[in-house]
Amino acid sequence: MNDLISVVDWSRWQFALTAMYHWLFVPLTLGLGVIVAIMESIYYRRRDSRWLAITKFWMRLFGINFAVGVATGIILEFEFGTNWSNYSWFVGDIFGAPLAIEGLLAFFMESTFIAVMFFGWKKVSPAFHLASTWLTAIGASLSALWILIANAWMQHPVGMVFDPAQMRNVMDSFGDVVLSPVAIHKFFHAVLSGWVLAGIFVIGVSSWFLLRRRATAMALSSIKVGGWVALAGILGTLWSGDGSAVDVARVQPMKLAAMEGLYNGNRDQSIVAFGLLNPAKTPQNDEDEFLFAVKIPYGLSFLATHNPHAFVPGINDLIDGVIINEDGDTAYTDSYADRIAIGKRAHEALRAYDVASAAMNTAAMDSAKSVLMDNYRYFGYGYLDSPYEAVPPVAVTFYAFHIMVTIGGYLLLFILLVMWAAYKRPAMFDKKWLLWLGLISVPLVWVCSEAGWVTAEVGRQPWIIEGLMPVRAAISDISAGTVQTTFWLFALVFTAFLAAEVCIMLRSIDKGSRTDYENYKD
Amino acid sequence: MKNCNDTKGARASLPVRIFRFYADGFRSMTVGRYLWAMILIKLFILFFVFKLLFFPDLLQRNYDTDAERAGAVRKAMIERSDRADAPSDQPRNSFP
Repeated sequence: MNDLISVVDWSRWQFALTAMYHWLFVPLTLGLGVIVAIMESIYYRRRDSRWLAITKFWMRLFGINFAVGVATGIILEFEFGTNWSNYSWFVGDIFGAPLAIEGLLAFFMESTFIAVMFFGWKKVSPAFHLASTWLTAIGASLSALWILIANAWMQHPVGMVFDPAQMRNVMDSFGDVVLSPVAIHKFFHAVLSGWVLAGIFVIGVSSWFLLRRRATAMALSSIKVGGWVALAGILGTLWSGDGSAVDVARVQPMKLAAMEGLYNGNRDQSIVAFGLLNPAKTPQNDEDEFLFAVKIPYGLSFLATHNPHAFVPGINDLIDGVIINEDGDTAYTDSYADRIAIGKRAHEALRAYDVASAAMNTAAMDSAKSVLMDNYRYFGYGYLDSPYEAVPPVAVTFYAFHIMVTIGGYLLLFILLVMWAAYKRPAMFDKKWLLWLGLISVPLVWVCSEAGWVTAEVGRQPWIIEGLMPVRAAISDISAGTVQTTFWLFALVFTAFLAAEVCIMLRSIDKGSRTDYENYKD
Repeated sequence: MKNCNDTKGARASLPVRIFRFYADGFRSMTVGRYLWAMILIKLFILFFVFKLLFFPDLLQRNYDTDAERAGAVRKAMIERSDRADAPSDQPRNSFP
């Protein structure tokens, strides 16, 4: 058992490390692709060589990020086959279909049009080149769409039926999987947050140009384009984040309770703006939840249901079976103790099915399958011994969520300030504090983006598929030592690649700052 | 009048044009050459080191048919259920 726990934890750390490395590159690709396309559109309309030079500079940075980031996600698929083989079989074509479509789209759209984007300046017409640039940006977002649909299904499994003979969940409604509200909100939230990240990146790099007093006109033009994309992105992120919060309240209420460190819910529930969790607090004791907290009245009720007076269940309420129903009202459902009992009945039925299958006893197989399907909705809970095992790590989820929201709030104010300065007070860009704020915002936006994923993924623990499969059932029969070896190998290799990217990127930025954009000759 | 047999000025076939498009593109690269070297090194490490030596697809490697794989996963998940019933001296959800 101890070795199993160790394998599970090392595999989780490995997946987290891999996914977080991958997510360093992806949002910049998603957002910078759009920014470059907008810049090239301006060049196309004005035929101004200055905008051509600006486009080419940011396109080069896009290319560096794309090249270094490409295929970092493939290691996640390796891990499915090695570390999470039970999971990858259990999810069957539901996970496989979106990933296959993603692979085809990524390969055909991105590899085709990105080549035209970089090699085609003098070989294809300006209109075709512009179309290729836009299609590269759209292709990147479509790739993300399919990955996020697969991820959303893990958070809220729909559109499938379990087949114990295949030991797989079989998709019975592609529409339900693709059009799940969780998937739609997640897609917009992730992609639009990429716009924010890229917009801030452009503002940050341009701020450095202005600090060094190089290519100042180009930097100001870039700030305007980056600022508009960041503003559109952050408004869209707020909208989709609001939708995601309602989704989480409905389909993953335990995650929402952990995000807020809420153990006992109330009507008119306030939200914590800033807070320090009490480390001694557990669901089983009566300690205070916070050592210190600044709360906004009615905030969490409004966030979860759009009704400031609604009841929001806490961790203990959920364990007792109190939830919010589809209409946003308080409802009673199976307590976690009942869910565990139902899950264990499903396991017994699976065991009986296995025995009947070995004996080729069709009648017994049908009987066992019937019991299994009646109890399948809580199949994953059968792996738990105690309701408290279904509580995610509260501290990590709470702090990650609040880091994301706090930095997101700061970024909104910063973007508004930058846009106001760019259009109304350009002289403000002579102020060093504003330019330094631009530079500091670059690492902050990455922290914000990664914190969002930590909230989403740690907050759904212990589930790899919500309610159906905990991570400990998903893991392969491998040794912890094997996973540790690959964890450190991966960390070493990808840190080296990241360092190389940063070096190449910085060199290109420095070179770009010395270009004469005003008298650019192609 | 142009001689129909004169191929000197004719357009090359599509595959040849695509090949030339990529070849000319790579030739004119500056920073891109380092990037391509990095991509090739990374792909080599991923597919020839990580994938071959450290990340086998266990179910594909250990079983010949889908029925065998389904049976293996069923047994593994039943066994995990049995282990869940066994007493443990450690908290299960210890991450991180």
